[in-house]
Amino acid sequence: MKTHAATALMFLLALAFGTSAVQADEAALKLMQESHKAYYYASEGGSARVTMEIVDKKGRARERVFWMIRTDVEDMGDQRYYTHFIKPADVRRTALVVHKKAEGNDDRWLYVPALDLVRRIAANDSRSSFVGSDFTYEDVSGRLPSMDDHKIIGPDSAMGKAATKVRSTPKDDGTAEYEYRYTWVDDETKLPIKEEYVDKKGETIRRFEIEQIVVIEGFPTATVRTMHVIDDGQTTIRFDEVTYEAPLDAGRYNERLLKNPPPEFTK
Amino acid sequence: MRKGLTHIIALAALFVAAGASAQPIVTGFVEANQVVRVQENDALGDGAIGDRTYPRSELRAQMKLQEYSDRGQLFIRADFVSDAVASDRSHVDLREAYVKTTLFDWLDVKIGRQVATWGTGDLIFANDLFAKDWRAFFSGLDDTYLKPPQDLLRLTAYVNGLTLEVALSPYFTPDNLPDGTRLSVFNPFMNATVGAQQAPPIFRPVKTLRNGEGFGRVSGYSGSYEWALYGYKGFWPTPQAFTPDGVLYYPRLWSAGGSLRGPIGSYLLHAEAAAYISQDDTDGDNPFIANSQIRGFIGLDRSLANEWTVGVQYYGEYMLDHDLYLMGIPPGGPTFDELRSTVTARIHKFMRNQTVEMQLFGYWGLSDEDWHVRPEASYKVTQAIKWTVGASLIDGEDNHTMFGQFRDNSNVFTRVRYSF
Repeated sequence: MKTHAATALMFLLALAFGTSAVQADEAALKLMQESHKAYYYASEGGSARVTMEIVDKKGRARERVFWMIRTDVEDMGDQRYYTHFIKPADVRRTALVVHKKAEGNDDRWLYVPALDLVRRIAANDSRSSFVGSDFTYEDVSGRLPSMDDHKIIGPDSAMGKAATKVRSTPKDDGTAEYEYRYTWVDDETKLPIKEEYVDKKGETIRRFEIEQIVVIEGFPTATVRTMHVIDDGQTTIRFDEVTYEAPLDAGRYNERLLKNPPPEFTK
Repeated sequence: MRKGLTHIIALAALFVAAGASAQPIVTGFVEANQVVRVQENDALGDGAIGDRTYPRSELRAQMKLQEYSDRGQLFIRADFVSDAVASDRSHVDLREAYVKTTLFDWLDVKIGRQVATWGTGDLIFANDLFAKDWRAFFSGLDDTYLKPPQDLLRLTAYVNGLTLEVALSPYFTPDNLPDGTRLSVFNPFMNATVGAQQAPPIFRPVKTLRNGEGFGRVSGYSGSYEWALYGYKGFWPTPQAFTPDGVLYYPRLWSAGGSLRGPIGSYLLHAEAAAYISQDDTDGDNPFIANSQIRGFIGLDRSLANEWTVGVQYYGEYMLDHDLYLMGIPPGGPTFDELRSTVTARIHKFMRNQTVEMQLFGYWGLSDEDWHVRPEASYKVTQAIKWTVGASLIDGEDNHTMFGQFRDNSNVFTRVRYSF
């Protein structure tokens, strides 16, 4: 009788704790989804003139300037990206179209103007560098929150703002080069104002920071962001001329766009 | 004279364009390029045209001028070249000069001198019958020089998710083949590798509308896959025929084919096939003219961790009426197999934020027993300065095959380019 009562008690306890753990996980996932939406899916698309400064370990800086256009096919789902390079001079007119898939590998095409060639790029490695910067393709177009287990660590602050600290662990460790990462979700805008990527040894290998947030057309926008690779270089991205109005039709992200940039995205 | 006129027109166009616009975008580069043979080529030099040690020793400046407006774009690209080993030491190479505009929502027009490429191959071609510059390709110029300019009227229509393209040229532009100046060539009549003075004469079709070229393509998407159908009417891009008195010429050709490209698991697949119908010898019974062929290839690419990319391709060329072809070959003469197979491989790696790039591309002719390997490494010294070293290594069992004919032309090169 006694043992039965103990078992029942333990069962009830397990149920209660289990449920609250599940609820906590759900709250964490929900927060990360909100953050993902604020950062990657603001409005239904938009465009910006992006200036990228890549600084190597020895402090030597290189600059890239490109226009980036986005259209969402589905909110929190597939997206289309178009990048048209302005600087450096040797890559001017080069363009990139990415069909980002919520599930499966993206489709990527590169336009090589000197050959008038549209080349398809193997896109199975989303962790490869985006145009030589310290950002990966995944950093630029997003990693689905459902690919990780999330846990709220608690209220904290980062970049001078009140934030909620979340720990995210990849469900499949083959999909990430880190063991887990911390995200500080800004309580006000839900933007991921800071991230730290931690390896197996518990050491931080990359740190991401949003240095400036501007509300544009009603959408809080991270206009200056930096990725620091610890003990190596860093890349800072600045967004200018941001607009969320009248994004291109999703059907236009094709060979015609690669070869014929809209004139407003060529200066 | 004609060449001089072209240059004057080009330069005039440059100035007009520069003046017509408030803010034309001008970019370009200056490049020093030194190419040295791995071994001296005795077929060249010593009174012959060409240099037995250096296939190329040049300074090249490229000017690009572009202007975008709501009505379309204007683009001009010209190379100003000074080459110590070329017969015309300095010259202007007008590589592109075109106007592009959208006539209707569904129709784009691009007219003028331009570079055109289509198809899915990596340095191999089946349906892309636009001209190639093999002379540049084997003599140390950047890979992009494989495509020489052509004068084309190009119409592109977008209808119901399909893209329909037609490109028309008022005259035929053949491939730019080694001619015994920078690189020695095989003379089939002498059965020897020779310099320009002994290179066989080649007749080009006279420039009349009847000898124009037409290229067509219909393409579309199906999910992540891209497909295309192609057609061509014109001439064999290389002189695949000769007259009884020993003059090579370009016989008529029409071609039709298709291509497919898309992902298979973690790989990217591309495949292409084309029928080359030798219009002047459809039965294959004329020993002086190339027989019809089926050409095709299939390839896989994959990106690996740490910025490695690898790719392999199989290319096959199947000759129709091979038995008739064999009957036409003089006893003991060189012959080609009915199916000629070539395999290619590419390994590519970026390092240090893509400032260092290393690649290796190789062709292995399984049937012809010849090969060509292109290792290359480049380093971006600063944002503007890129230093490239590489080699074009080539050899073969026989002197009449695709790569074997150029076997005395292996070289190494170094290029320094300042872009602005």
